[in-house]
Amino acid sequence: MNDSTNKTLITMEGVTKFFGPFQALKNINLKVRKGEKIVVCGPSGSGKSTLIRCINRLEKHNEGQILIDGKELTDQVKDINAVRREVGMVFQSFNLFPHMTILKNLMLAQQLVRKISKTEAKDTAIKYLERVKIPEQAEKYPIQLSGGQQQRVAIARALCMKPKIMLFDEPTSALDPEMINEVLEVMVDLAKEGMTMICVTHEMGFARSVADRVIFMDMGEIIEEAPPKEFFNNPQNTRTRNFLSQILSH
Amino acid sequence: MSFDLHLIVESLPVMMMGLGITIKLLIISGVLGLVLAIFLLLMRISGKWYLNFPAQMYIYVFRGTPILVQIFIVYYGLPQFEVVRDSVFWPILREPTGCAILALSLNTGAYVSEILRGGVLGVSKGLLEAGSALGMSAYHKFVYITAPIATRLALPAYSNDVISLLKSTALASTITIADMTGIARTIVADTYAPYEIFISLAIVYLIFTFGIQKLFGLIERYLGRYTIREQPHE
Amino acid sequence: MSDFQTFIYVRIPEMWRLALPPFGNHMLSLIKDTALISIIGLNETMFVAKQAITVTGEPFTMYIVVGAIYLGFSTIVTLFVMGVEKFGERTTVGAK
Ligand SMILES: Nc1ncnc2c1ncn2[C@@H]1O[C@H](COP(=O)(O)OP(=O)(O)OP(=O)(O)O)[C@@H](O)[C@H]1O
Ligand SMILES: [Mg+2]
Repeated sequence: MNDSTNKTLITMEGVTKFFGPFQALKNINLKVRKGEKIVVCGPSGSGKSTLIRCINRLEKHNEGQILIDGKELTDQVKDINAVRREVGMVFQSFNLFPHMTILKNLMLAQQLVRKISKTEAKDTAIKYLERVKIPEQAEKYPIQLSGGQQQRVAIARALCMKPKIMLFDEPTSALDPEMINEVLEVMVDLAKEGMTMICVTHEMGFARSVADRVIFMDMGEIIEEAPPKEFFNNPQNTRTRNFLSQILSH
Repeated sequence: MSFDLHLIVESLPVMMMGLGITIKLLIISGVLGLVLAIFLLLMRISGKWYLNFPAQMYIYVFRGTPILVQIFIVYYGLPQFEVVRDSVFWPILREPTGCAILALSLNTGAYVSEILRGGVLGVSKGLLEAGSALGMSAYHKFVYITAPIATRLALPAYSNDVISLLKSTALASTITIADMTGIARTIVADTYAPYEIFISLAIVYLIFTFGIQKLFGLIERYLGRYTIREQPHE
Repeated sequence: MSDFQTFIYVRIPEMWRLALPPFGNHMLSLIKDTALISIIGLNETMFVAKQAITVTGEPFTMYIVVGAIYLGFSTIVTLFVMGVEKFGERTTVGAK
């Protein structure tokens, strides 16, 4: 490996997060290098969403330090938006702008945030729609698309900003089973192209084939962190074992 | 009791001469009220207590008191003060129409700002998070996400408020304005035929209301085209 | 449960909880609309105010007082409705 692939893009050190008196994250330490793919799993309420939402500051952490490509996350609004430009996010519930066509959804932030011209934004949008295999839907509104198609649009929308990091928060949990694969395929392609990714997901097939490391969280802590082979075949912690036996049994 | 149809036929055109004033009151107060409402809304959602609190008080007072009292305070009350009579606003406040427009705008502004706020609160948090995640500024999120969606959500309630405003314009007649109701009251005073006159007046307002409803129905359909699953036939 | 029981124990409690906020608003409108009665000359607050003005010659002061009286009524109704709403919420939380 050369230097550039070894560069650390995300550093979390001693990160904690409280919601009122409730502690959602406890002493989180995590380093993600350029090109790494991390899968995060764990029971409901364990803090997975909170963890990745802290990375683009949709949640503000209380203690510790988060560095994104060398920039520390603080309260400076300018800096936050500069960081967010570089970090794409895909939500469980798609969150496409319902009042805009698919094409407009993909062009909006390019024009407003990246200050890219309309024609160039449109070209980029169409390019990424082709990448997620739905160029023919460009003029439709989100509601006219299936869930799987909407999620692929959401991925394309994030990619249009040419992010260095992509965050996925259970991107397939809201989908009917027959649509899950079309979204996972797009994510696998993205992984192959070398995108740095953190995915909260319970799709263990995806974790096995794509992840460099799998992280298991419980009660706001990172309990276990290992390459997928080790993680699935020889989990160290009993809580991990219980969790795996539960989700792999069905 | 006899019902004089002939009288209705005769007085309807006379009442319609007041239609212009009714429409003028409705449109000018409606527009000014909407502008005021947007200011109040921005104060309400600014997150700054020193903007939020005065706006909230304003809304509380203007929604908590009758529009008639507000009209009377402006028309009968304000001229009590030397300052008002000497101010640049006196040419407006001296005229009953100016007073009616002022009172109606202040009143409808309070109601409409709450309606708009309902729309803003109805915008799903996830969409704004998506905007944030794309690096959009608070201003861009408001202009490109919140405002258009909130407008669509607030429209049905807003059309109801426009209809309320139409009905409130009738109160202008209590401060000597010759709108449709004012003219009707004059005719009733002359003819002693309240049933014929007021019932036909009510029907005119009803038709007016129907028109407003239809108009907003069209706007709603246009602004809400993205909420319909089927591809429109083109 | 029979249809009748469903109606009494489920639909009605559910209904008044949903209907209460708009009903409260409606009561407020109604109170404020009582002001309109003065136009036809009955002895309500506004009418009394008009008479008082002819004596005192201070219309602003009088109408502000009238406004304050109505505002007081509105406040009482609002607080009452809020109280009942809270009570309604508590029962639904308990029912879960
Ligand atoms: N805005 C909030 N206010 C208060 N508590 C919150 C908030 N967001 C999350 N929490 C709490 O923090 C904990 C972690 O939440 P989080 O959403 O990160 O869990 P998760 O692991 O993503 O769960 P799931 O699998 O259900 O999505 C939960 O107990 C949740 O109730
Ligand atoms: Mg979650």
